[in-house]
Amino acid sequence: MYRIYFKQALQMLKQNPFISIISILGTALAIMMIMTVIVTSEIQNASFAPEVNRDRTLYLHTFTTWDTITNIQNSNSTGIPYSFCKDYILPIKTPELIVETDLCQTIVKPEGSNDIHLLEALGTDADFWELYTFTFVQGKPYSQEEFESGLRAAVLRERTARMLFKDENPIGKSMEVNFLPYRIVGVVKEISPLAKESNAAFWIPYTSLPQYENDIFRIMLLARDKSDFPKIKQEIADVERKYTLANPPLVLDLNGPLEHRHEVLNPGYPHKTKTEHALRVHKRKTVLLFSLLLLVPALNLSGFSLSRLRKRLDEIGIRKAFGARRHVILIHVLFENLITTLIGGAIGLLLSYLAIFSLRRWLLEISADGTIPGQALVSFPVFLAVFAACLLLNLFSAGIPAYRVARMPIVDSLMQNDKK
Amino acid sequence: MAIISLENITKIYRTKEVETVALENVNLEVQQGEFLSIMGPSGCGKSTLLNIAGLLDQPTEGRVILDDIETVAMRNGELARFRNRMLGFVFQSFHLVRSLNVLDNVELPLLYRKSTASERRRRAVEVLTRVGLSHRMKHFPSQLSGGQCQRVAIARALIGAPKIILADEPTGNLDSHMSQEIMDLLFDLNKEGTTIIMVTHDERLAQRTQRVIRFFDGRRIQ
Repeated sequence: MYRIYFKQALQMLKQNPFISIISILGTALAIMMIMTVIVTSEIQNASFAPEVNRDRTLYLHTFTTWDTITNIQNSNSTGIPYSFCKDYILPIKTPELIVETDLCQTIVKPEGSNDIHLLEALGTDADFWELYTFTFVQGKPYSQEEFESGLRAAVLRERTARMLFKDENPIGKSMEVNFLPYRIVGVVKEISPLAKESNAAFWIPYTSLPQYENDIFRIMLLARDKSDFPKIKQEIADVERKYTLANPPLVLDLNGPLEHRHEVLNPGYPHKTKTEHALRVHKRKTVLLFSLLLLVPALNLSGFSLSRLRKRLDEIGIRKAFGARRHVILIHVLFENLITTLIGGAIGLLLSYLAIFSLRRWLLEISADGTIPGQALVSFPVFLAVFAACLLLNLFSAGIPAYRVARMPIVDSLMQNDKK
Repeated sequence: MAIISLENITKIYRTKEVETVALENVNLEVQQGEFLSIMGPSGCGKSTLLNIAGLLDQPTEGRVILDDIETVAMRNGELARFRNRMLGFVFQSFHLVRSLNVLDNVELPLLYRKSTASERRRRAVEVLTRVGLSHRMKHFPSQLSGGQCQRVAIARALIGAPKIILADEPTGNLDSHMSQEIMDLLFDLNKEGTTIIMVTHDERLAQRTQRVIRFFDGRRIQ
C-alpha cells in the first residue's frame, strides 16, 4: 500500500512541477529556519576533537560565599580557589578524571627573537591531555611527573608554533613566558575555535606558574558514564555542606556542577537558584521559538495543502466508495505530504548548513576563517531533529486539511469532479 | 431472492433556507442477478437512489437492506468494509485517479482488504485482460480515450468480485460505438451472475436491460 502511496506522491510532484517546487521550497525554508537554530545549538553541544567527552563532562567555575551574619556576599564566577580544589574537589571519588585549568594572558618572547607577543595560555594539569584528545603533530604532552615537578614546559598549537618559530622545528626550543623560560615539548594540530574549554595559544603546567596556589581554576569533572551525573552532583552538594559546616557563618554555593548543554547557556549568575531559573526561562523561550518557527510556516503550508487536497476530493470520494476508511485516508494524505516534507527537509538542512557557514561569526561567535567540525554538523541527533521537525511540520500543515477532507461525505467529494 | 431491498426511502436535503425532497417514500426490490435500469429526467432522484443503494449516502428515512443485512444503523467502518466486499461502482465521469497508472487504479479496491501486492497485481492483470486493456496497464488516465477510461473503471469495479455493480450513467460521456462496447461488458458481467443497477437517460440502452423503473420528482412512477 505504501509503495503505491509513494509512487503516487512522486507522480503528483512530476505532474504539478510549479506547485511542487513552491511547496518544497516553502517546506525547505521552514526547515532551514528550524535547523539553523538546532544545528547551531548542536555545534555548541556536540562532542568533537579535542572535546570528545562533552557529554560526560560536568563543569564548576563559580565560588560564592555568603556571610549569614554580615550578609556580605563574596563571589567569583570565573574560577574556584586552588586550595578549595585541592582540599575539597580533588578528593571526590566518582569522576574518572578531575581536570583544573587556569586561563591567563601572557607575554611571550621566542628564543633568538626580540618579538614580543601577547598570547592566551592555558595552565593545566596532566590529566587535561586525557580529557581532551589533541592530535600531536610533533612531540608529546607533559607528563604527570613533569606537572608535579612544576617543569616549565609548553605545548603549542600549530598556528602559534608558526608564528613564533616560522618554519623551524620548535621542539626543544625555548620561549619566555612572562619572562620565564619554557621549553617546547609538543605541537598540536589546529583546533576549532568552537572547542572553547580547551582552546588557547599554548598550554603549560599550571604548577609552573608563580604563585599558582593563589589562582582560581575552572574544574572539569569527567564521569565514567552519564548515569554517574547525579552521584557526582550529590558529592558536590556534600562538599558545599561540608565547607559550610566547617566555616561558619559562611554558606557556600558552587552553582553547579553544570552539564555541557547548560554550561553553554550559563549566564554567569553566582547562585544555583538564579542559574536554574535562567535555564528554565531559556527552555521556555526555546519551546516558544520552535513553536513559532514550526507553526507560522505550517499555517501557510496548511492553506496550500488544503487547496491541493480540494482538487483531489473526487479521488478521496472514490477511495472511500471502494472501502477506504477515514483514518486510512488521513494516513494516506499525511504519508504523501511527508514525502514532500522530507524532500523539503533535506534541502532545508543543506540550506541551514549554508546559512551557518555564511553567518558563523554572528551565530557561533567564531572568526570568518574558523572551522566547524563535521561531526557537529552531520550527526545522528541532527538527522533525528530534521526528521522530527519534518514530522511535526507535516502534521501541522497537512493534519487539519487531511482530517477535514477525510470527514467529507462521499457523495459531496465525488460531486467535486462534476462541478469542475 | 431480493439482494437489494429499499423500503420507504425518503431523502431530504436541508439548508438554512430551503428543504428539498429528493426522494419520497420510494420502495424497490432488486433480485439477485437482475439487470435493472433507472430512468427519469435530470434532478428526479435517480442518482440519489443509486447512492443510497450503494451506501454512499444515508437516507433521511427508510431502510436499506443489502444481501439480507440491514445497513442503516451501520457505523462508518462497517459501511466501508461492506462497500468494499459487496459493491462495485461505475460513474459517468469515470473518477479515475489521475496520478495513478491503469494498473494501480484498478488495484485500488484491494488496497483496503488484506491482500498481498502480488495477489493484487495478479487480479488487476486478470480484470484488465478481461476488459481488453492489458496493453495499457502502465498508461495514465490522461493517455486513454473516454471508452478506455470507462473500461478501466469497470475493471476497478470488478476486481473485488462484488455481488452488485452500480453504474451511474456509464455511457453518458461516450459516443455510441464506445457505449455499445461498455454495455456489452456490463451484459457479460450480468450473465455471469452480477446484479447491476444502471442509471441512464438512453431509452434504447434501458430497453436492453431486464427491467426499467422510472422516476419523476423523487417518486417512482413505474
